[in-house]
Amino acid sequence: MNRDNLMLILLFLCIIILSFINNIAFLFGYFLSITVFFLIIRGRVGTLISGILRVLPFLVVLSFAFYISSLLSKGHPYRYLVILNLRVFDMVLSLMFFREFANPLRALSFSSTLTYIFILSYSQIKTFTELYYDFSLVMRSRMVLDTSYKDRILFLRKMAGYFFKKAIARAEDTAMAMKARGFFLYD
Amino acid sequence: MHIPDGMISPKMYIPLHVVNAGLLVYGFKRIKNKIDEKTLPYIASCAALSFVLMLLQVPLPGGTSVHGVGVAPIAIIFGPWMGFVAISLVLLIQAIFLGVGGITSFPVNALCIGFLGSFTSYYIYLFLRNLLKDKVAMFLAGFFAILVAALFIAISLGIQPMLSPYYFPFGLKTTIPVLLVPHIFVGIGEGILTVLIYEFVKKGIKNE
Amino acid sequence: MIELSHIDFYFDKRPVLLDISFNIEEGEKAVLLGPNGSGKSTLLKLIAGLLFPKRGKYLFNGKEISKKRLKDKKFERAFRKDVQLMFQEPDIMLFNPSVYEEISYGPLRFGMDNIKERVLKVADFWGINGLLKRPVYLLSGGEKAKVALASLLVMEPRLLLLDEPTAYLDMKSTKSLCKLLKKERFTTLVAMHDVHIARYFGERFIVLSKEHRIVFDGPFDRFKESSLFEEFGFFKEESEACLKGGPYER
Ligand SMILES: Nc1ncnc2c1ncn2[C@@H]1O[C@H](COP(=O)(O)OP(=O)(O)OP(=O)(O)O)[C@@H](O)[C@H]1O
Ligand SMILES: [Mg+2]
Repeated sequence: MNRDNLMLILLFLCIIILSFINNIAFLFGYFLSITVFFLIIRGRVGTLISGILRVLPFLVVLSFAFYISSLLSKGHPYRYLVILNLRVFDMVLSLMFFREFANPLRALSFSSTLTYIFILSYSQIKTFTELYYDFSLVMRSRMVLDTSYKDRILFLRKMAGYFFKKAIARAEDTAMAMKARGFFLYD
Repeated sequence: MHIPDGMISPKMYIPLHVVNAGLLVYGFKRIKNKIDEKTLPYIASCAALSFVLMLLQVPLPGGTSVHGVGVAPIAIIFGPWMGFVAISLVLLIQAIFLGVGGITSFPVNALCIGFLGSFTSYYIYLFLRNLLKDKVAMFLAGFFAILVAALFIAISLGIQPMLSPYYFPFGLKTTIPVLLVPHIFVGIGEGILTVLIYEFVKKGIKNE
Repeated sequence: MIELSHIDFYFDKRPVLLDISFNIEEGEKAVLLGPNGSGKSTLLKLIAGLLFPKRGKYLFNGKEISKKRLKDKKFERAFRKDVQLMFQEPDIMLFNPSVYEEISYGPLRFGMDNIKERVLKVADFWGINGLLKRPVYLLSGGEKAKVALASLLVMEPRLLLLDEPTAYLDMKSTKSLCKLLKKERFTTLVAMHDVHIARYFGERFIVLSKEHRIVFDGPFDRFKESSLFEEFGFFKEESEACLKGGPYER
């Protein structure tokens, strides 16, 4: 058990506690303390804003729809809305707090198998994402902008097929490389 | 399609976390029994594949485009357990590394998209491939994988008001139409993607 | 040290290696040349005991390497420790959380001693001591290649197989690799494309054709005189000019 494992467990505890408490003062206090922490102690306004922005559109739509629907049914939506929104922000900010301080890969490594799964997947996701963005650039640089539907489908097929083939080849090669380096030799 | 944190009540996410973890361990063992030393590399490859398929824009006839999901092609080609494990892994990585989706909603997303999506597409394809043309069966497998996933996500959200207050506020009457209608298009996109990958695989094998 | 006799290898039904026979003695430095798709990477994987020929025999120190032989875990252990292969895509060989853990992975697995000193020594040689704590998946292509090379060299293998090791390396690192291979005692087989660099990786050239057969096996000077040389896209004048400069001698 390392420091990052502990932080992950702490994060889960916080989120579970947050999900049981419907007290506005508590939820608001939690929100305030994390915000202050980000603003003053870490000076990370950007992180804070990006975290909030990520859920904001969804929350705005949801809250607005709920507000209208409860007006129509003559309900009192305010308490409901405040708690719902605060809780979402609290949870998102807790996660950001965790990501700010812990290395997620190490945090998830509760067993060596898990560690290898996450590292292999994460690094391959990174490679594939980079390839994908290069692919999109290729599309822009090699094809006329206003392409026909058929062309776009063909390009998609090429791209999806390429990643498909690459995924298999890489899995086979990785298995060989792991074997060569003694991964499957248990004592 | 990912549900964020704070929408699912603990009455639901705690038991689902347990169920999901159990299924993941079981699925991992199933895969391991089948491909042994290649298990870890293939899981990683499928996760990366589904991650990148989620980035792809699938053009729909008529000018719009939707994001693929990739659950159907992976489940049909590598088996439903692989689809489930790989998609769950992607959802977990998105939640913890990238802040997309959520931790409390992870089991709902994983079970609806990963588990139900994989098994729906796999069995629909198995069932239909003898009745219809291969291409049509593939398309329908992809289409229904998404619709079933969306339906169950709508149900999971829609029963929140009955479980406890201050979570997702709308009932089934709202969530089902609001989620299913747009996901018809996503389903078409996934269907197209499944057919394209299938064509590619078939052509690749012929060329050998 | 390795003896290949009449090896055929197929992927599905497509031939990738046909009638490959050659020996490499202990301590020899050989270079494997061949056009794209001729089967160089496949041959290296075969020698590393990761793929197995359809026909023919492969002996390593007099013992045949087959799937069955490698089922014997004790034998496999000794074999894998002695033979280290750098894959064409160094990315795929790296699966540990940090550079330090990556390099120390082999020594730990195979129960070597003084692990920390060994790791620091190779890291120092490759100029990657600054990276030891960094996660491997965030490194650049060349840095990954150096980490991969370091994790092979730390094992002190008897046979080192390198698949286009210079593809990602800058000039300076390429030169250090040349120097290192020259100095060390172990046997090497390096797959390469550029003869001018390959020249400094070994005296003996083994050349595959695009028909997957061996078309040349001998010293560089003879290869330069043969008709194959120009067929492979090299020019004598060009190469003489290159060699005269001898950038790798320095
Ligand atoms: N896993 C595989 N399945 C099917 N065919 C393969 C596989 N790996 C390689 N091949 C084929 O085998 C042939 C030889 O491939 P190999 O990678 O050994 O070539 P190479 O000489 O290393 O080429 P390069 O110079 O491009 O690295 C190629 O035609 C390739 O398409
Ligand atoms: Mg090669």
